[in-house]
Amino acid sequence: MNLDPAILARVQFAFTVSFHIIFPTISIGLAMFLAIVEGLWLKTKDPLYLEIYRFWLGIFAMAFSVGVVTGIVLSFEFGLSFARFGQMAGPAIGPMIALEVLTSFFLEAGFLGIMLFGLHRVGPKLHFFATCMVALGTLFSASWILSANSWIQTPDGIVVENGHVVVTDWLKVIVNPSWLYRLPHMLTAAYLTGSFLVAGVGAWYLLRGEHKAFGRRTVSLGTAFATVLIAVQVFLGDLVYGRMLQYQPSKMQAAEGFWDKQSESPAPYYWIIVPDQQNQRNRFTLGIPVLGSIWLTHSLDGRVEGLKNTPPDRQPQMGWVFYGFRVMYGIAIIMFGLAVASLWLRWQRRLFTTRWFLRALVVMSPSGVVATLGGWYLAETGRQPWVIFGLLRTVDAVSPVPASVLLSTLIAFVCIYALFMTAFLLFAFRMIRRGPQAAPAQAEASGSLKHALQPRVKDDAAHRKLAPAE
Amino acid sequence: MHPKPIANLKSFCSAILATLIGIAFFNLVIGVFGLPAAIVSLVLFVALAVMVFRRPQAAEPTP
Repeated sequence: MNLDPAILARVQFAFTVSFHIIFPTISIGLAMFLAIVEGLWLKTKDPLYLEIYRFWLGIFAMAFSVGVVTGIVLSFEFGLSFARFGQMAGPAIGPMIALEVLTSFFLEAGFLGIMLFGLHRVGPKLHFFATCMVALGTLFSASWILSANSWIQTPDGIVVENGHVVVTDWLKVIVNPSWLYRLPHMLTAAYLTGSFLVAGVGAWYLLRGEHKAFGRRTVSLGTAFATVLIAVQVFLGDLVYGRMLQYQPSKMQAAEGFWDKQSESPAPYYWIIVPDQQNQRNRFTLGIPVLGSIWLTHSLDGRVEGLKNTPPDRQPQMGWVFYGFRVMYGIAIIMFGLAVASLWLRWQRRLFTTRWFLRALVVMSPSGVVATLGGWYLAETGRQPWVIFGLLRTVDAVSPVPASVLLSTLIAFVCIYALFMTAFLLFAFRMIRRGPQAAPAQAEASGSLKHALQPRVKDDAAHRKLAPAE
Repeated sequence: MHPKPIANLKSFCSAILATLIGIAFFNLVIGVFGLPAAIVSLVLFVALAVMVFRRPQAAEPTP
């Protein structure tokens, strides 16, 4: 069998990075949620907030650890699969990855222990500070990674000399043309993911008639955050769209599913297409008439640019880009619809008692992760055939490694990651089934750092007694 | 005359109204009517949402 190393390298990176992004998305979202919930507990002294915090802390810890491990793998893959990319872009990308480690990993590592194990060892305020620092660390981490990724999407602040990138302006490298647009879009996606996850688990308890106070509070918090965030997200999404249209027109041409240089007028908005890349046409299309003109050109009869505006050797594969975008955007529309429904139900005082809505929330629990994956497929497949847009083609970036090595490591990654996912889902479902009251609901501490340095755990039987739920 | 059909009709109409308002907000926020309108409608949507969040909710279904 004759396998292409370039294809294998791409499949391997696509698999490992797709798996990885699931976990930081959850942990970034949950870290902020935990910081807010602990802040509310400190402010109100309501033990229900502490119960919510303790419950979600365990799931956050698991997502965080799997995210760190699978993230480290990606750095090694630059060497294994894309060494020529490393050789060329290392002077720009390397320092950003190093700064991620120095700023965010050190911050997270310094405070994660206190966050996970210090609730009974340090004071509540110091513990809250630790939670905030971990949330800040996840934000810094996302910032650096988005900066590095945005630089390969819209490279700036460099010159290429003898096949190597030479940085001429670090500020332009870090604050490249798309970073300030893509960073808030990604952070909001992570916070939305956390919100729908929290609301979905709360709704599941309410449907089963278990842990009702916990369920009501988490459905209320989750839907409130989700309502505000999805509105912000569709606004940010439109800004990112405009920016990418300016810097990567081929990506957005592929994302809309049109081939002709100018679409018909008025343009439909396609939801399903069967693209034929070789013949530069669609075999089948299904869309809503006129909506393409309204949404994409903001007029009733505007025409949309198609992929034939880009030479065929510089075109991305339309199918991946189109469906990545449609998955993300389709889920965003459903989220927006649910947000409006939640407001209507709140107005009618039926948020916790409307079973179809609670069922919808349960179904939407993983929607943030799926939408984020769709968005990343849009971003990364839309950048093709470039690994650094306009500078280095993906096929030229691949390591001179035999296909058999890439295939064997790919199989190893699939097996190990299947174990990771199974373990994560198994333990997460077990924690959800056991319910929030399986975790102690009362933190006791003096508020002094002294106790943090003592090995004694201030969690005796009396303190373990559960506080009333609401 | 039974009050229930009227209540159902009222609920149905309010659901339709909420849907229409939702569609209007979505199109405004994604910039169909320009960036200034998108910013204003986003602020308005969030403000309306925060007002509605303050409404107390029934813990159990009302008979």
